[in-house]
Amino acid sequence: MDLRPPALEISGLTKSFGGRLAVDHLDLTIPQGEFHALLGPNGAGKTTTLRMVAGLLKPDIGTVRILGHDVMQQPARAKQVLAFLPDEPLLYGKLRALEYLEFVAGLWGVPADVAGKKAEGLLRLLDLWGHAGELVEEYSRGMKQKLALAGALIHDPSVLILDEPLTGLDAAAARLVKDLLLERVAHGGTVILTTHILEIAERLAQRISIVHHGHVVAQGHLEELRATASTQGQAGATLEDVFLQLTGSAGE
Amino acid sequence: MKLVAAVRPGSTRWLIRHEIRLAWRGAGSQRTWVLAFFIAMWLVLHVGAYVVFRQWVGTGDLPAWAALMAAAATWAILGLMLAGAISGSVQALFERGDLDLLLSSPLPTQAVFMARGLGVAADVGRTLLFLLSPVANVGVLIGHWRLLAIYLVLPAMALGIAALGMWLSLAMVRLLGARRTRSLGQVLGTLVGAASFLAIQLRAQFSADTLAAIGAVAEHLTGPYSLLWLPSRALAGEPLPLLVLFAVGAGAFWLVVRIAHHRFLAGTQESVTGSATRARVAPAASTQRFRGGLLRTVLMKEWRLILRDPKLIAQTLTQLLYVCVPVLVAAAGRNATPTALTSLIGPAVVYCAASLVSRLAGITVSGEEAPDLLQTSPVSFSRLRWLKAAAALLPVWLIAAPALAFASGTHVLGLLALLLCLVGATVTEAAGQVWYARPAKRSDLSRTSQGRGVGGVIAGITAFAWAVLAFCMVEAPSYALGALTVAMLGMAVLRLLGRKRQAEG
Repeated sequence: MDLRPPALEISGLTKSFGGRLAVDHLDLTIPQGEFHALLGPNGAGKTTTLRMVAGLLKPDIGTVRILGHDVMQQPARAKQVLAFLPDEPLLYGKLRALEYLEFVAGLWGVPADVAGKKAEGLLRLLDLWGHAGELVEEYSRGMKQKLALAGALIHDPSVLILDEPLTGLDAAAARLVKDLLLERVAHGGTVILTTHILEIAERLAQRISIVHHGHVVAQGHLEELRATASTQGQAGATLEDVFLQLTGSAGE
Repeated sequence: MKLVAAVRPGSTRWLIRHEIRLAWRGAGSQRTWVLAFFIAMWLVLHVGAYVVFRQWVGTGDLPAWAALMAAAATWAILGLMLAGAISGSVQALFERGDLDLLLSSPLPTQAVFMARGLGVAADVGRTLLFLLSPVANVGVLIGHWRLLAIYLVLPAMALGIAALGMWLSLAMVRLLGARRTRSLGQVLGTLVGAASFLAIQLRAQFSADTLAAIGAVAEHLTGPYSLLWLPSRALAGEPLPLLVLFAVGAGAFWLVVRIAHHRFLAGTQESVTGSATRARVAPAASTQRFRGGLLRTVLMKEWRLILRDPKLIAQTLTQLLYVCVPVLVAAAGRNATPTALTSLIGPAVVYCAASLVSRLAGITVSGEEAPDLLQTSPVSFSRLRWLKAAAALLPVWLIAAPALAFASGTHVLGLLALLLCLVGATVTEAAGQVWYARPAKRSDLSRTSQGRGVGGVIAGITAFAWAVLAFCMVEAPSYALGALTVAMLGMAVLRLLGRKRQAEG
């Protein structure tokens, strides 16, 4: 039995915008060392949930704990072990890649010598080292995405949350990033990602949560989700079938 | 039948209509009110023009120095128009997202560039038309019918400048890339504007006789038919200059559109792929050593971002110029003794430093490209804002302190008092930015107002009180306590309201 605190523990999380409920009493627990995919149709509340987890949005009610640290009560402790990569990361166009990573490392208090080596390693791994001296504004979208990922990894977070991390990446870069994420999980890290590409969730994630209308409508391993779908009359269903059935999108 | 139905889709007129619609919708949600305001202002300008004309009619001819001032003003305006045309051309020809769509359609490229070029010309000419058309209208009413030439010359000037701007931007985009060319155009515009402002301030220092003498020398050196006088003479309705300017302006535009549009097309494609071809070798990335520390990394980040943004630097220096030059001109206008003038330097430096901090802290604190990154970091947002404000304070203190040392001479106590006022005034402005920050993308700061409402007003008054205190300590010690009280009170109110605002936010 795992006595360690969960990587992420969300309880009764609720958020509304102008009377419209975006997240509705959402509960979710993700243990440490898991690769977890958060799926849902557009407007389901995934990004809002992740932004509350990252401390960017204040929930109306509910709690979020990261490795046991309450995001609202102990924000510094929670953020220290977390990295959040938004779907469209904003970078400083007038900084060079190494300068950007130096700044991010400074924010998370990574010792300079460690950060320098780590930055070089990440840039080499992500095939950006040859462009390390260029201003970020000269980067392509995929290069920016990879640099943002390097920034998210520079402080070696225990919990990595990524919102659509493969957007804008070519096949080789996407493969590289997927391998990198799997390696982190293999070394005990926790990765939580949202994606619209169901195949990625199917191939990478150990467990999947499907969010619809602001709360989790199904959760589990792929087989468990298939079983859920089977009980509703679809034996041997694919993740796509399960997803469409649970979100009520089938046949629409 | 609707009027628009008569316009053939894909024609130049159709594209122009498309441009007008985009410009109208891009003017914001309050555009109808804005338009009504400008129409009202335009009518008011007619009254102003009438008052000026009555004076002119009453005294006979234009004063002797007016020709020189008119020529100088016209060339300054042409400079501003050219800077605007370069920025506008880069935006219209290389940066607007819809260009790919238009150029991949079966529309003739010539029609696309004609419409874009006319858009640039309208953009650079509209302000001038707004300001000068009342002069033409009122002039005609009171018998100066030649001023109707304004309606011919201005569009011709706008077309000619737009053509020149388009050519220059094409050449510069090939050399520097679209983004840098646009920055260059904006910096050029800022510098020309600043130079014009300086010229107006300096003009006040010369008598009418001196200006007339300078005008006579200029005319003697250049001759009455020099190009120097051509634009102003054309605007005044002289037939030959008018004809020349109209032919040159309209002809240049026609040539650019008719002959050179293929080169623009090639330039557009180059600008799209240019980043790859211009990619330079990374400058010795492996030699860079990271240095730790939150303060250092935040300071370095802010300073790098400012130093690499020539547009922001130019705007900041210009703003400083707008504050400092009138202060110094006013001081010189007092005909004060050298000792009294020296005593004004300290307060002037304190006030100018506070203004500079207000602007710089506005950029470092409010301008943030990656707010999500900062908010997800374990450092508190309030602490980060103060560190960003420090990036504005430190260089200003470094610049201002030697000036204060000069102003205080050998008086150590006087220097300490001035330094206290400097710290008080600049920290007040920095605090105003920290507590009343209006976050925006740094790239949007030049386009959006940095107003902080009541907080900005209180910070401004408090900073001014510190400058007054600096003056009182040297010139009028009996008032120093009053100035100090206002400064301290201002800081207290600022903090109180700032705390309330932060609690609400």
